[in-house]
Amino acid sequence: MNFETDGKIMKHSARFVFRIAALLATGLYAGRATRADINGLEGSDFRLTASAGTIVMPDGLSVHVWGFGPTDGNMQYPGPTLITTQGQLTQITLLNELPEPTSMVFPGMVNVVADGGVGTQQGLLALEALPGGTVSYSFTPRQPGTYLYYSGTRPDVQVEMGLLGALIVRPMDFDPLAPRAYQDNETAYDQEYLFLLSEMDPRIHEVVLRLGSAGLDGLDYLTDHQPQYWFINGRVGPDTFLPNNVPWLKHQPYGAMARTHPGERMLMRVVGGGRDVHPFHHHGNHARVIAKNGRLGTSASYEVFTIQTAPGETIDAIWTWTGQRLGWDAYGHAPGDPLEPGEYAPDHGKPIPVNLTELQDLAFGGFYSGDPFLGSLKSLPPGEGGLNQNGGFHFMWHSHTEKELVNNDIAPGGMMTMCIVEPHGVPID
Amino acid sequence: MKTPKRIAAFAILLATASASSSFAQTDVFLVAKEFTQTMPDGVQIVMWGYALDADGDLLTDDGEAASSPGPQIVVPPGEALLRIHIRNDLPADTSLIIPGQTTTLSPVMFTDASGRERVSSFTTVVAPGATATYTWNDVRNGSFMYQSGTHVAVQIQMGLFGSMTKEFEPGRAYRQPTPFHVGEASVFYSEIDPDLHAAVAGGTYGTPAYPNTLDYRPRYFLVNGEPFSAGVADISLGAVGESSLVRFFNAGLETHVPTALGMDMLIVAEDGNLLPTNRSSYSVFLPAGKTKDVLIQPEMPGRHALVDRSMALSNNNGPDGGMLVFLSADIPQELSEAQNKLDTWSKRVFKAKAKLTIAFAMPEATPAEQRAKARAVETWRSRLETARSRLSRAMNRLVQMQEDLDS
Repeated sequence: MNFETDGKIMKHSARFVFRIAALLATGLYAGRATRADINGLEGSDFRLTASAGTIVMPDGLSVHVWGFGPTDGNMQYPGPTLITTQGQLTQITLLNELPEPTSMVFPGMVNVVADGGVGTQQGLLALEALPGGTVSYSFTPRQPGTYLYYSGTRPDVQVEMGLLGALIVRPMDFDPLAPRAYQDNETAYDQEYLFLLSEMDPRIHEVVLRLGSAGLDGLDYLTDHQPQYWFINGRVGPDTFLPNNVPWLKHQPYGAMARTHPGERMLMRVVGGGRDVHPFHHHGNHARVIAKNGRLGTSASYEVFTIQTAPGETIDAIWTWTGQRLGWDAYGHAPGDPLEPGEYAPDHGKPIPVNLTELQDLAFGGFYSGDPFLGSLKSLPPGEGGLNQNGGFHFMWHSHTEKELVNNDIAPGGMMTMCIVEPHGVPID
Repeated sequence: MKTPKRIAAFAILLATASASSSFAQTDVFLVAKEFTQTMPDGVQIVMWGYALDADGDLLTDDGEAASSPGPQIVVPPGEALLRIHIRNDLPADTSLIIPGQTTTLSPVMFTDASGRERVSSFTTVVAPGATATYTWNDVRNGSFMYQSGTHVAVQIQMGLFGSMTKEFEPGRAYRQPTPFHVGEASVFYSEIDPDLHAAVAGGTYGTPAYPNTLDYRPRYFLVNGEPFSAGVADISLGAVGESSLVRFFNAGLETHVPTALGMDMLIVAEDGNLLPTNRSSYSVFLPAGKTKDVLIQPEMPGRHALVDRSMALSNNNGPDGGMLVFLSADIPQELSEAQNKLDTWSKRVFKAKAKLTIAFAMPEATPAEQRAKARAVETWRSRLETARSRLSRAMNRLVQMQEDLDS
């Protein structure tokens, strides 16, 4: 089979699949925005409960976790992503069902007012809720952006235990149909994803489960910290690939698989939730950093291929994929074919510069669609593939500290997920 | 809290006999010596630090107490020359370098057991008991650390570091557009691995007991030379609305992320270099050896926690310690004076009212009594009127100031 013939078959196949997908999109998903929104609680009056639970890791280990959760829902790791609006008085009421005092701090927010009566005490960093007590915090976010909240009570122990979450502040003039991260057109986006990075040293969780925080006195676990698990949005790879709210991960509701279409602007909200620096490496293209710690920097934006997340800091970046610099037509078009939306026009119709190999000469990964072109599915040997329903391109996004790609020393896992560039017409939600 | 002594290193103007030209020079006299520091849990740590030589001649040990960080060296704006004269009272060779300031360095080499030529000091050493002078002829403005240049992995860890700063002009740290600042503070981060200090003090460093700093496991985390514990003094930022320059230094071997709760900082410089764009931030990413300068303009009076988000928040793994300090902002003096006035006049109104009530109740049986009563009523009525009018003026002034502050 020479390339020409193969290319033509491919082309027809690609267009056929695209049409089907487009049909599905327009028929089944008519009127529905093909946009991913960050999963979380929206509003300005949040009711949370801090409580304990167990998460089960892919290697089989159970880890005792403390987390925030909606008062009418499960404890979760990380806590609910709180989505509020710039200039809106925001109140968080926290009920403490943990065996120890806890609290919340909101770096980047000024004039945070804490309120609480019986069942509270003034801690070192914040007003704390005693076990069974309730405390509330209110503030008015002045600037939009990505922030995080976490426990202000022995944060070296309690953030490790899981008491943290993301806080997203929408700009005052937020338009869900034309969303912008900040009041600046360079922060407009089509897709939006959270990547909250954190790590856990299970020894600490074991001690706290049996003896409480006081059990750590006299041990060196806090100063000789040895994490074994590295998380994105509270899940380790490969659980990161799973959708939001799968029933068997009831304390880890947030997925971390990013999906977008060619040419779309994806807003990456990257949060350093743990105590270590995690260089978040996004394959596929560079990203343009537009803000840090919730402060817009579009006038001094810059491109990176690894987003450095420092502990407690956040970075917002825009990532786009068009196929530029591939040097060949990612769709397998003939020169006379129409352009796809978001396609990199200068490479339109350029052939793939390799001879495509026969199936029997290939080894397969689960994400191979049977065809190298975007949106094209081809038959694979029985039992192969199956994880790429739309013929999308998969890019691994992961910590560039490669030792963090394990679950308790078993690879692959850890701080790793996928970004899928789906053909236009494939619904994303 | 032990605040490092701040010395405006004194400049001596020397006019040559024949010429009208003059030049300024800056001389600092330091002694490097051992001292013992007690941690909040009672553990005693042998430290190495610097002391200012009391009589500036380095000839005799005048019993000066060394500290870590060492004395702050402040080169006046416009000065190009810095000379640090040092006497080494430590049991090992040492030297002085200032990363970021140019000078000629003469590295000291040695040949190790495997025949490899290696560097033991970045520049000429001063032997135990000896004195030496280190000179910088072209000191640039900014925030820098002076530190040992000899066996740096060990000696800086032992405490041999301090700040060297120079303003662009009085009250302004860097050239325009850097604004002028009113207050100024330094925040130094460092760590202590007690096993390393014990090994150096006991002469077992470099043996299998503690082979090298690959085994470094700090258990105390210090801000300005002290781990947090109850009673550690706040860092004062002056009054609300005033701009303070806060210089951050990391003399530790690990990365720290000072995070201010409820307060924004404007990061203006890094490693003594003015940044091209100012960025507001609640935290400062501070890797080992880094200096960063921020401007803080507190909006609210009170205490704001500055907490290390890389979670070095324990003292030997015990709770509520480590790299935590509070930044405090006062009510502006004008405002507090206005408030005092309000208090004063409201007390006087109260007093005049009471006196007037008493006056009204005075007997008026005889003409003398009637006159006395009329005088008293007249007096206190007039004083009440005055007090009331002053109170209302004080009130208006306070409201106006509050509005100005809010806007």
